[in-house]
Amino acid sequence: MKLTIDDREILVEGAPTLLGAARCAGIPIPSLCDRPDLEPFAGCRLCLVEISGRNDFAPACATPAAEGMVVRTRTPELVSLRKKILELILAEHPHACLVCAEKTTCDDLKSTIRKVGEVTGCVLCPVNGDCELQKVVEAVGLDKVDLPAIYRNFEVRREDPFFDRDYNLCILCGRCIRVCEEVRGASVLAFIHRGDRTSVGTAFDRPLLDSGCRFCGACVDVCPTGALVERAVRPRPRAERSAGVVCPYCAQGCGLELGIRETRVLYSKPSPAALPNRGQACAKGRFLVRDALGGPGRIMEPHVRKDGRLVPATFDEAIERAAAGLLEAGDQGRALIYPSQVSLEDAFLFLEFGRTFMDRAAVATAAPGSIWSALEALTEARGVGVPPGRELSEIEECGSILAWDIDLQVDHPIAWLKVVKAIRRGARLVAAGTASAQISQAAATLDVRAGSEAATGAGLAAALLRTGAAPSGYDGFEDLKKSCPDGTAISSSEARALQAAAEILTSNKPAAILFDAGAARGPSGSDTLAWLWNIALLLGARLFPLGRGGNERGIHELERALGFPASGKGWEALRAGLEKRAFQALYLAGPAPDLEDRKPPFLVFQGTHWSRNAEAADVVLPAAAFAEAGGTWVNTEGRVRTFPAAIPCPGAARTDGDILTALARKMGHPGLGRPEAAAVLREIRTRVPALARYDPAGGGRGEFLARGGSFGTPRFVPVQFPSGSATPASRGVILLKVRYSGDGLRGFDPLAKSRGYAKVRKPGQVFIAPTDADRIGITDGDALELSSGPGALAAVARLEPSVAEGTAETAVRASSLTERDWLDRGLIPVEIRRKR
Amino acid sequence: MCPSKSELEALTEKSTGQKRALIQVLQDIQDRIHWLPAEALEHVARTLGVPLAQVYGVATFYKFFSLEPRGRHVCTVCLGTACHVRGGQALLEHFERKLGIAAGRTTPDGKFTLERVNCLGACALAPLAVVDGRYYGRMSEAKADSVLAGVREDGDP
Repeated sequence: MKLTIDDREILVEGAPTLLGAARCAGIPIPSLCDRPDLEPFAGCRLCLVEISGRNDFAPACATPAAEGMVVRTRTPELVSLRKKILELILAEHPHACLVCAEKTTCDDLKSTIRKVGEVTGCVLCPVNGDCELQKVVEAVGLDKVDLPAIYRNFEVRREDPFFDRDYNLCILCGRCIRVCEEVRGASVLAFIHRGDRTSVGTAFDRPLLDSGCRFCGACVDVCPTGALVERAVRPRPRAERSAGVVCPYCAQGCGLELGIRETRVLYSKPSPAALPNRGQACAKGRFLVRDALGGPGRIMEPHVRKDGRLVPATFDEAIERAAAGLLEAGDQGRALIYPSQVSLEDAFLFLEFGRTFMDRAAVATAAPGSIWSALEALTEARGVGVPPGRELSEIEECGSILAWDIDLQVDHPIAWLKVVKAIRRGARLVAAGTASAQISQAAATLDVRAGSEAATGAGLAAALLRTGAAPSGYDGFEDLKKSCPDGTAISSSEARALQAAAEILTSNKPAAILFDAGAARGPSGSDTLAWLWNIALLLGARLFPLGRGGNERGIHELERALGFPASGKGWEALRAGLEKRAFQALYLAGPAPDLEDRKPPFLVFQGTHWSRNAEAADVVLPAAAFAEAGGTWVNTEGRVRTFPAAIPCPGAARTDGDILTALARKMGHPGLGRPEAAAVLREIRTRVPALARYDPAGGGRGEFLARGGSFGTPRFVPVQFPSGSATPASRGVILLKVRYSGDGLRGFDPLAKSRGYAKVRKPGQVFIAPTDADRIGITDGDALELSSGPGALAAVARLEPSVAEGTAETAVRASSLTERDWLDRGLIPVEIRRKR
Repeated sequence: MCPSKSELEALTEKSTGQKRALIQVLQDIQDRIHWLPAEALEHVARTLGVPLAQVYGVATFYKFFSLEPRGRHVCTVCLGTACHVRGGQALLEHFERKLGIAAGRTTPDGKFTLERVNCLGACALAPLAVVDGRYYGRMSEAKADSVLAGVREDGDP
């Protein structure tokens, strides 16, 4: 459409607001409350414009552009009105920094610091010089504030992790409130109180920690003033440059921007244009990348064991010791645990190293079995394949969403944002499981009882058949119908819930089904996946399998193409070897459970951070972290991206590629090496079909893995209809469902290193039904011991009504062998006792 | 005084899932027990599907809602322009002396809450006081004493 702004004819597409249209045309209109990613608010009134034919002023941010409109943005009347409005805003905002005559010289001379007795902004403001309000004052041309200044004297809130809240600097634009509600779906914040006491706050003004905040940092990033600032980022010195990286923490692979000064990373922020996160991140990506790159605990130089003690050594000395020890162990006596959160280039070299020097069965990552290997097992066992490769943004277009036994807000925060967006567009959420954020936004909920997951899946399939779902063209439909009995062995309230869920899913198409490796764990895991597949066919639904670890999907493709066992399976074999003490030497380059007394006689540790395993090693090699190595990463969508190293390695650390090259040379294979990362990537492309057509120079927004193999015609898979729900063998025994809460980055465990993050994540809790707690005689917050056969774990009791009687749930980090063994079993009968 | 769970359920049940019923539901609870305890706000948030922070925002916005326990009898003195001119301020001070509390507070025995209001819109009746929802026009100190005495004798424990 065509419209005129300030005598310029402008052509716009779509249905923009006047503010959007003006910005497209490069006509500046000041605004403090508007954000392109938020709904119009019209709160600050700075974007008022004059529209011909209307006798009032209209806020450009909330007025849709219309054909033929004639708009003026800077008439003398508007300019003076804007100044007055801004003055009113500034009357309650310490504004010495904005209008002080000495503001340009202050930085050098600090002449004003002695003149002010109270916080008036300026030198004490954390965002001075980098403040949107200052920029708007500049744009509006305000040079004095005639109104008396009002200091509201709110107490600065410093009780929460990661950031401070100083509402004395707040201008009540409401961006934080809106991003928390509209984008994050958390709604932790609101305007509270009234009139001159109005502020942003939580319910009952409690700390954010007690208000359901996940500390994603979105509010900090949208704040136009210094009211919300990251605590660890001091105002000076500022970053000199920024570099784009892919966040390595989890499989969603957010695009992050690192603020760098010299060789130090000062902060990490989500990049506004990056996919799939579009300017959003989570607590780890936003606040814990800097700590993962530096900070205490980083291994800075090589060490070797001398006279029983680890002492610093030169790189050559360490390599020599490592090579000698590995060679001495012999071909059959060596094992390699490689990291699962490294670039494809480094992972490839690790696998090449493993192929050259070890038995393939002795090469694995210690990462828990991924959803990709579970889907592959489904293909092998039942002959159907889930073609992966959907973009997370496709969730937004769905009419209904089934979140299957998964905690999206915690484990897949970006996927959760897409679900929130879909719900805001009218989609209906069916929450199966106990995740509270999903339940609070759900149109229907399903209980997924520990041990009876497949039964719930089967029940839902049967309910869908009853609502008349009958897709044509797929084989096996008649068999499926026969195997789903009409009157199922489920109770009537469960039947009603299943029926309600089935009706929502059939009447709001397309449906999306979201699940992760948790669905495939436990004895009935493969049946559960088969039922999810059948449900997807019945509904014509989109399946969204979600990975967990950074680059998990890419490394899975590598393992497959190079003939290594998939994650989980490889570990099983290696774990058995450790138990039998089959290895003389272990090259431990990835994170692994504390090996304790299963440690082989010779241990080489390679990594970024000290750990119990590192301290027990004979040789320690300092490795580069993700931002120091760069490389190619594949996220859960199959999006492939390559980024260069952003900062140099600290101390004497080297990239995994360099270390492997040196070690291989010392061990007599000079050909195995790393001439340069680009050459390694070229080699990967010739060996891995899914990456054959990937071009790292192609645009930078990321290309996708080719869908490997042929999946044939989809058909229903035969699977036994479960006869009833699993029950514990005897009274007093509780079926414990073990989930994975691993959210470390290679050797960096944010739970151990960040007290703030531990407060947010609350590790080591076990969720029990209140009735069971009563019977055992425990209350919320008690320290418990969970025991099963030889193993035992400690946990803190949490009473949770949504947990079924006779079952309990916990999430483990797999940092000890017991935790890891329990996780692999998925479902364990345990006795629960209060710890004395 | 806290409402029981079943009482809260009865007050909110008909509005399950209806966000727009928020103010009405809060009013019903306020009418019933004269204040809004935290558990009540949490129950309303869950039942109506409104985020708790927003419920709290609404509850703190309107002066009508109280987040602290209020007395069983609420006395409100009008200080609008007309009432002010006709001695509203003196009347309020009289109530304060008589009840032994400042405006906005509740007597320690939980019997009376005293409030001031900026205008009740019944300026022809100035000065005006409201006791337990009943409007008393052309209020005087003597009349106030008898109204309070009447309330006191009203079979309260």
